[in-house]
Amino acid sequence: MLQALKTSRSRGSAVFFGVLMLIFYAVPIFTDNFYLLSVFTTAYLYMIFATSWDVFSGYAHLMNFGHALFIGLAGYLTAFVDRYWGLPPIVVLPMCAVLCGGMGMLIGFLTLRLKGPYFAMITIAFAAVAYESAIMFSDFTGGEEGIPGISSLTESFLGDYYFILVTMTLIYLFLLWFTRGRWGLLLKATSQNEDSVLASGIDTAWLKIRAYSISGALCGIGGCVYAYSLTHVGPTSMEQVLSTTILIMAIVGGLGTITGPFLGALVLVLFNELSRDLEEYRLLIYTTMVVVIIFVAPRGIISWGQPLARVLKLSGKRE
Amino acid sequence: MGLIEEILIFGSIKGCVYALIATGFTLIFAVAGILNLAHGTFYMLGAYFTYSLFYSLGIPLAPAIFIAAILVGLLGILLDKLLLQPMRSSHSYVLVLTVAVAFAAQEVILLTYGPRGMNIPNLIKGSVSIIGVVVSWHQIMIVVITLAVLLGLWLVLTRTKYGVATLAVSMDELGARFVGIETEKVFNFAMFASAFLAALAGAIISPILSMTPTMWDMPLMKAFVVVVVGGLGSLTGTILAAFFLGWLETFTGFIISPKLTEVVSLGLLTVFLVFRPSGILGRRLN
Repeated sequence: MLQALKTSRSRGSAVFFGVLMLIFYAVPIFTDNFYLLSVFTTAYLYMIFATSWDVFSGYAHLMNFGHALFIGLAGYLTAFVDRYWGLPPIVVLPMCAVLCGGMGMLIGFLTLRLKGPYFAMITIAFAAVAYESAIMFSDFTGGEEGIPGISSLTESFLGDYYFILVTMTLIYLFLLWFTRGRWGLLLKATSQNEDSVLASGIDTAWLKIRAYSISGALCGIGGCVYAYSLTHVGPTSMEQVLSTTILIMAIVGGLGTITGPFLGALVLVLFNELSRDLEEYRLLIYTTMVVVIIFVAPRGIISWGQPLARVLKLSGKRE
Repeated sequence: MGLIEEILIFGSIKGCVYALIATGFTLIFAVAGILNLAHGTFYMLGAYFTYSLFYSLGIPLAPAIFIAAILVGLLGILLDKLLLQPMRSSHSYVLVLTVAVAFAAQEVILLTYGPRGMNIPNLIKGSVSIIGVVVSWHQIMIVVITLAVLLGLWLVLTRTKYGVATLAVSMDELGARFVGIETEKVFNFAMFASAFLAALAGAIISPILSMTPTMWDMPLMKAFVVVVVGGLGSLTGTILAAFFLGWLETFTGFIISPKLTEVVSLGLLTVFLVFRPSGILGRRLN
């Protein structure tokens, strides 16, 4: 029965996400509204951030409160490389992935070998110090102003749109493949009962360190694209608010599912655009939302999908 | 006016504030296993409540600080009962909930008081010269209040029934329940004391550092560092580490560069996590 449940769920969601992706790719055909397209671009970037957050924190159930560290690191690297060497984005992207993956490995090595709540604390501390340093060492980083004038991703706005969309799609598909296989299973098992995974001869610390490093590398790619699309990088790209927003998107969407944070990011970015009048209350609304979701639907809005799919007869036969 | 004396004195003042913040942070962790990311929020609320009590209600400063700290302590209990208690079994959700509360509080304060930095006046005006270093009376008051409060906490924890029960719960919650200790009451006490200490720290520092809606993240980070260096759950270790961090930061700021003071805590954190994750006086977490 479990197997049947699994396939019926994935068939339903595969249809849903296939249609969603088609819509994303088709949007520029129906509209050339600059504002609307840039809203979608923002959504794609946040999807990269939220899903790459989820691959570690959602599966291992260890909260990362400083995911924006990777966005900022990648952003500054992009700015430096672009300014001094003028390399094309396609070369800079892997550099960012390597830098952020390495940073993830370092932080993971420091904290994930230890039991206890060190990881959450260190993620906040590293992001906070990186933020402070970006402001303080203004000779290199431009201080609060940041570094403007990064060259754009492609020649045209539409090119940018598709570049970001394709990056997002690739990362999303990679994460689906990655988490639906052995890795995701092991990480989830570790979060439930670490001792029994250890007893099966698996080095759980190393497993977690690698997963966190992958999370960082993917977010680094997102951060690099983010910096190019804004043509600017500043300390705000490492702010605690950004890290927390990503975390809220992932939890509202549904921890440890990849598709949940994908949906959570889309919903919250669209909500954000629709509620421009409520701008000053936004953080208050977001935080209230996550508290309510934790109590009402701890598995996120994605957990509403199944009953919905059953009503719409999308999920096929079910025992 | 020697540099060493200056570093010692200003480092100690910094250390006092860190000790007040970090003691509460480690207390609630040791007792209830709550890593409270809203701890800095208590610090912030202590400052803003004092401001309102002093300027809007006209209560004299010293009682205003005391009342504000008590109010924040009660808020701490409310937070625990409303949000954290049902989720206490999950570390991750407690972390997320407290972060959500911290940001929500930041927004409420921003909407109520505005983004502008504000100050309250010194407890005692004027300054005095100690071994050649000019120190304001208020800074001396910070040291006096900290020492008095920490001594009081120590007396309560070791000499009263409540305190001993609290220590018992921090050692073994299940065992404490077996011998008839009402753990919920102990949690209330620990939460109150934790929030009270943080609020007090926020209130007595705000004549020196102006209060802003984002002032909560600095103490939170310092509390982390102090607690890791001192040993998670060890009160004596926490106090020692607080002074150590205070001196080290002041030393770095005076001798090397003021720009590096923030990096000091991270460096210390990294060194301790690599070489001695249980801290100076902590037990190993297992």
